[in-house]
Amino acid sequence: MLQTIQYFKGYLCIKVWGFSAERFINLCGNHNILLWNIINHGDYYTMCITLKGFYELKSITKKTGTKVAITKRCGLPFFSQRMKKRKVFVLGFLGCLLFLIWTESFILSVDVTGNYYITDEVFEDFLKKQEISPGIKKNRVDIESLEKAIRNEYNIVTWTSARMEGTKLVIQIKENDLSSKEEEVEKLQEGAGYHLVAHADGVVTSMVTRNGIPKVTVGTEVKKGDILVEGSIPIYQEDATVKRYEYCVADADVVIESNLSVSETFDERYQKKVYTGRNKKRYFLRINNRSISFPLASNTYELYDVTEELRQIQILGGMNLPVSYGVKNVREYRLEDRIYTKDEIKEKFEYKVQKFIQTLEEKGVQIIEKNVTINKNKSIWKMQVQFVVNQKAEMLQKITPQDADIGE
Amino acid sequence: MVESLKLPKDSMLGASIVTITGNTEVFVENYKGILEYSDELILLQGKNCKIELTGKRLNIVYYTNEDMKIGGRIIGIRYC
Repeated sequence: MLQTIQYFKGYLCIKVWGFSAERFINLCGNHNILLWNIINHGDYYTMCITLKGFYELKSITKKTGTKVAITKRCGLPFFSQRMKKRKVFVLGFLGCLLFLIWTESFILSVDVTGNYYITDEVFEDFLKKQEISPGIKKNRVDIESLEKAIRNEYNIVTWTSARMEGTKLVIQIKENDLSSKEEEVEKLQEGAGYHLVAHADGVVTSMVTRNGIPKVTVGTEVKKGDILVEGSIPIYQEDATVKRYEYCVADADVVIESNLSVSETFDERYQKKVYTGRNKKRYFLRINNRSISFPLASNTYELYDVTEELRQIQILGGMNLPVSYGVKNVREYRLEDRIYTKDEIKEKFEYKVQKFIQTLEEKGVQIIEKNVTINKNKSIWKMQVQFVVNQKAEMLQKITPQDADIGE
Repeated sequence: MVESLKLPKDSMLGASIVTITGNTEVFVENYKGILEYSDELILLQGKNCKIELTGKRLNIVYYTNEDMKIGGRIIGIRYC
């Protein structure tokens, strides 16, 4: 702290020699002149003295018969004097500072985290609609209204937080983890009744009804679209005639055993990328969307892959400048005609089947039987997979006014 | 009298206060001036006696009318 004050006030480093340097130091103390860094060099002393103190030294030097010489001028008063000779440097420095302050008032990048269902591209489009994109002024962004707009636009978003980090706008969102099925049911309940219908042809293997009138039993053969559980509940009069119908959303666990077939074809001929081993490195500098590559000559490869390593320039620990640099790796390749071997085809089909089974399992489908047949017709390989599956019926059909009339 | 009235001895008797931190730093208050200053010896004039500091690479960090700080490797302090 003391050093900072001394720097702003300015101080001198002096050399003192003569008859009685100790007396010189004592007299300085008596005159309340601050001395520091006093070093004895044998023949002479060096020390630091305040500017104000130095002007009072004349009488002291006379009394003590010592001589004083300035060895170094330090501090802001001297620095500013020196800077007067370097006007362009000072202007450049100030200009740089002003530029930094000016760029600080812009948003140079937008970072969105926590989005899973809403993809980055979709969110980017939404932000564009809200007139938020890299390059706009910070004061044009109303954080609170942005948060509100995100929540209004996407029902799935349960929590949002937007904040500025330097020149970066950081948006954090939290999506609803619960499945949207419950919401769907809630939506359905607002309207009229719904029947539960069969999703495929098959046989009912188990049935538990919670809401509605069951129309099938275990063992019943059903066709796709057949009503399994009715959503219209008849209210009978005393004479056993129907007075009216109450409508509800049919809710039941009905498992249907059905056949499912999948077919897949593969051409045994294919073209394979074979890298020739020739590659080029091209360095580039990108400002906004314009880029310059080095070397300037364009590459001569006919077929090539490009991988790009990009680095954005950041200053002051987080301020992104619209300037980036990097290196492009251009790898030449040629296409070679190849033919899949039987094992390769088998592997490929196996992979496809496994993937299909995985998607079925994710949907909650239980696989009872699986039959795979692989044939080759000319150069085309064909795979036919027959599944026997147990799947829960989840398809709902809205009760139309006509249905209701017939019912009544 | 000073003791019975619990008055500070340094201001009443003019006694020097010497505070030593390790063997590298000495802080002195209540002194009149420097009598001798070299690399290996600093002789200070107190109000009642002289204080002799011996050591190696001695230097005065700062010096005012009130107090001073001495740096270097202190070997001994002697009152004479």
